[in-house]
Amino acid sequence: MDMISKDQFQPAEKTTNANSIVRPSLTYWQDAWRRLRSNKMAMTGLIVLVIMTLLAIFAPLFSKFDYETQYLMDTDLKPSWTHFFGTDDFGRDLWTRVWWGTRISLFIGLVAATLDLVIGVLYGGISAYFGGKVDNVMQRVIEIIYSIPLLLLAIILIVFMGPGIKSIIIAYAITGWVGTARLVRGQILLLKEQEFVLAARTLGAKPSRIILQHLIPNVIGLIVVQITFIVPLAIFFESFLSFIGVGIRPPMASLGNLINDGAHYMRYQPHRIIYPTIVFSMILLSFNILGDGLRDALDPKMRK
Amino acid sequence: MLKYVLRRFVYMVITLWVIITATFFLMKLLPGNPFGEAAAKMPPENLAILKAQYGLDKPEWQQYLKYLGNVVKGDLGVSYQFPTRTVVEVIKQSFPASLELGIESLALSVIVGLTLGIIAALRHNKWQDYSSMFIALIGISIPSFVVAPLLSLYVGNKWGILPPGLWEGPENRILPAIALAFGTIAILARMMRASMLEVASLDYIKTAKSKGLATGKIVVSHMLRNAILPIVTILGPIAVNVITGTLVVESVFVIPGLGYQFVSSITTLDYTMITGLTIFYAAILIVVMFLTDIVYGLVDPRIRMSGRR
Repeated sequence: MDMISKDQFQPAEKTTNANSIVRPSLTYWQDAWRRLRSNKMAMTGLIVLVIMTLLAIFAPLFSKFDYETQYLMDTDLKPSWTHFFGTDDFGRDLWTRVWWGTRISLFIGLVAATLDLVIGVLYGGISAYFGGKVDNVMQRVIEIIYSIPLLLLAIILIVFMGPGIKSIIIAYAITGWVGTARLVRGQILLLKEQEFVLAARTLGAKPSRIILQHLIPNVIGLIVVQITFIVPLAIFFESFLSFIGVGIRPPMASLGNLINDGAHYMRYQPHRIIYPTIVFSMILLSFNILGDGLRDALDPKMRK
Repeated sequence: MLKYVLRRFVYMVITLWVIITATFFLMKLLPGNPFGEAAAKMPPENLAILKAQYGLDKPEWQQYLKYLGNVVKGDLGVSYQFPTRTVVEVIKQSFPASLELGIESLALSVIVGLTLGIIAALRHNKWQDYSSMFIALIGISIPSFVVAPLLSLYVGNKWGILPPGLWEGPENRILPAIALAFGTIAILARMMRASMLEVASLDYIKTAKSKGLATGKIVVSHMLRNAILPIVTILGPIAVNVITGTLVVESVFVIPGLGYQFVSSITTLDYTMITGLTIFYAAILIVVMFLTDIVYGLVDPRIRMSGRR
């Protein structure tokens, strides 16, 4: 048997260093963004929403018409190059009114969702963190509010407060936060038993600091997903109320009252209902598919 | 179990009380005078007689107790705009149409929604799944107040297949029922799909498969039975969906139901009618929620246990 001589060996050269094989580590948000980007449906939703928002902000600014001036010579025009979406029975330009309405709807959606989140997250956080008697009482309150039909409560609140953006937002804020509070509470009940909370408590952190600095940042993913479901809900809420006549009042435009107006005239001027309907449905559809995509991207349990 | 039912019942009563109280105080907040402009010209003695007749001379807490008593007895007051009609009369007159519409649309949505959900789950991640879930997504995104006018416009007017409105023969029922069922179908299909998928991964399904049971038999007698249970929990949201839907659908299709009545009383600011109908609707919803809780407690012992904690 041949001996293996020493000269058959040579030292392996260090060709790569370990750092170049390992990919740079991704933060939670980079990782989520990477996953969201590969989801075509969700990205379509996101892009449609961005376009809609830009149009809602800029279309009324650059339009030759404003949303309330009446041109009684130009009533009931069909869509054309001067009036992209046609005009209504007062000669108001529908292109401007639809985007103005979108602006109002998005504004109400965002403000209502913010209020909903602030109240819901704090309520849920406090209730879950303190537990025991506090939790018990706070949960009983939620159970009662939860079984009050919110839309009905909102309708009577607005009927008696008088219609308008402020009333809608207040009515939504009073009634809408319960779902968020329940969601956040469930999540924080799981989190508060973990070691980092114990560590913070041992180091003498106050409850307010633990809730705001340690617990809530850990439920941010959940909250982001929740936003994409609350905003369309709030937009729906506004439009529904405007549709039955307790929301935004003309001459102010909102998608709900445009659709309601359109429904009255649809037999002879279908353009009056078609355009606001398309815009409204696209917004809701985009929010929903973006929300589904975000949930898949942000929820660690879905990772394989 | 009895303890659980009692507890739910107490919640139901509290919720109803909160709503009735809220409506009473909202009525008190209204500016102006309950007797309208005529009161300004009336001599004070007459006004005092009128007030005494309606019990408005008593302190507020007595008025409140009287109001509460009336509501419990089923007296919701007299219409503000048409003083010859009581709220209860209006409900008796127009509720049957709404109830019929609600039941028809519910039947439609249960059939279509569950079928879609089952198909989607059995063909998981195939085109049948994607198309069913896309339909469901559209159902969630496009609310009844968009669907109803469009159906009435195209199917009713442009194509002339079905009548675009009114409430006469059976052909008048179809379009409103579809418009109202749209959202409910979506909720049911999504829920049923998730529930079926969860059941499909359980061990006893594997057992059934490995002992060579036919797929059809597994689906019908093993999966469906268990998958359908969680559907009971969304009965509440579905009832909300149907009732808010009737407000819109009845106005669009000009159906003489309670929803139409409610919306027109909002436009004419008929305050007593609005509060009366709100209490009525709220009562229906709360009772549905109560029944949902009870049924769910019956079928799933875990809920009962956690409810006691």
